[in-house]
Amino acid sequence: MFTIANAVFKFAESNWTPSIIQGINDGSMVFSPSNGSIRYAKGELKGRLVKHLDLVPVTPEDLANPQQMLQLATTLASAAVVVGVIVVATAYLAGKIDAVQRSVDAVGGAIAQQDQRENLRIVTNYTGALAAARELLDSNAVASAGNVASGLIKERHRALAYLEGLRTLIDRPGIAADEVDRSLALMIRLLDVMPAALQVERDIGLLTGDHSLAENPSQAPVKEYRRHLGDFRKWCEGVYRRVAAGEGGPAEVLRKHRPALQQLFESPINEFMLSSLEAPSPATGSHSTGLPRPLEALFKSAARSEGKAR
Amino acid sequence: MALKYRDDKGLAVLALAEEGDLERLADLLTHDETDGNQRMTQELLETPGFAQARTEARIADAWQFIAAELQTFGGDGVANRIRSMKGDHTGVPYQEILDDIAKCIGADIKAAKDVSNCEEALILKMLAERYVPKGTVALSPHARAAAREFNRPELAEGSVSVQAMQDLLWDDDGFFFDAIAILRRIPQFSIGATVAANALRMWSTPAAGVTGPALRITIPAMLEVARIRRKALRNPINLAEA
Repeated sequence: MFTIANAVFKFAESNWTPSIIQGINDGSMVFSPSNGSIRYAKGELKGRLVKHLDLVPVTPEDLANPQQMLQLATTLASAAVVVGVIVVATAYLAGKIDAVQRSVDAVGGAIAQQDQRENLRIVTNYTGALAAARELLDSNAVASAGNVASGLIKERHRALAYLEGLRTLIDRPGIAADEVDRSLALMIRLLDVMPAALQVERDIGLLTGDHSLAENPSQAPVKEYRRHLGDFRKWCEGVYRRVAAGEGGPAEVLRKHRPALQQLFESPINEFMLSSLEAPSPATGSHSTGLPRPLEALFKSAARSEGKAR
Repeated sequence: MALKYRDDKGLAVLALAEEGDLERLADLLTHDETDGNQRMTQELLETPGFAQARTEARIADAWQFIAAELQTFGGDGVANRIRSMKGDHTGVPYQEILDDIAKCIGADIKAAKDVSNCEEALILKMLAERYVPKGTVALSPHARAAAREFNRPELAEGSVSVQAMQDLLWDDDGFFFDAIAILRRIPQFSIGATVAANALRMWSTPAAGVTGPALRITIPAMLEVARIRRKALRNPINLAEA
């Protein structure tokens, strides 16, 4: 179990100096969320590092009140770019991917039918795409990012469709308790990795400057994920209620998975990651500087601090 | 005689019970509520799997032992022993326990569509001194006194229609839980005059009285199981309620 401190990090507010904010907004600098660096985007210095941004762990208070922290996203955003404000730790994501793979192995080891094994490959393809995307972010290899991104999105859709099919499979009468056990574990872990995976999708968009990945469409995948999570929760509650009502079912298996289900449906970290992707689009209210009003306030405040420092 | 759980849809709900509720049920099965003494016939506390789970504060892991104890109390002692030697279970299924309680208190549960319905029908009958289908329910003095304590005027006033009572038991979780709490307050041998009379008749038969189903235990245990069931139906995965 990863603690909050190992899962997600936020950029320290002190990073956002007026010059950096200006640079991002006028396109002379580019922000790389995966490793928290600011680099020059144009001219002779293109690609050179401006600064490594300081990361600090997200606190329980941040999780309890994400809006305050997410306000930074609105503040930093211009009409052209959305800046991610949290980074998912590589170890956290790797741990989640490993958990999914273990479930895949457990299910695969018990399946005799070839077609069901083929279907299971869908999940492996998704975790493989996710791991590749994570590596790409770490290496900042922009050139191949587009292919990786579209592959990841496609595999995510297939994985979610697979989950729906798996529920139907488990619902058939006479299914063995251990099959329910393995399948439930797989479904829980696959849904649990997705909020972090959606962050990775968004980060690739920021890396490539592909706004179709990074901006408002981030909200569509989140909506889709929430719908699938809601459907899964309703389905689980139905299965549990049948046992409670005395209609039968794998009671001991359900008891074993209840803590994991509670964690999945009530995860503050997952909710935090989803909320950060759902943060509103940059404010485009009119202002003399062309910057959104909150951004100008930050600029002026930081300029005063910079002036004093000089 | 080792406790052996009999696979039982009616008691599978105990797998979804909270630790506190299972503790209550286990206590009820192992200790006499009137004096707090350990029941001579209980076996749960001596069952190694249960004892270890309790020591490690994970009584939920031992739900099947608790269910097995209830199934045992629901069966005839001699038959239990034979079942234990010959088979992989000790006691009787929960539905049989409900049927015995129904016989004892004069309730008709044949029309009940599921185990939850059976429990509600039994609770309704237990609250009533006189129970006329399609008529009114007249509560016993004990039930009315307890109802006043729980601020349930619909019960304390003494007469309420059967339909209204059924609707309340089905629709109103708060009423359901209060009804159980009221019944648990009533001294075991005066759960309605009808119940007491029937109970005496059953217990006066030597064979049935000595080795027969322990209604003084299974009736309150059934009320606890019904309470657990209602909680699980309301919030099956036990998520924090918004």
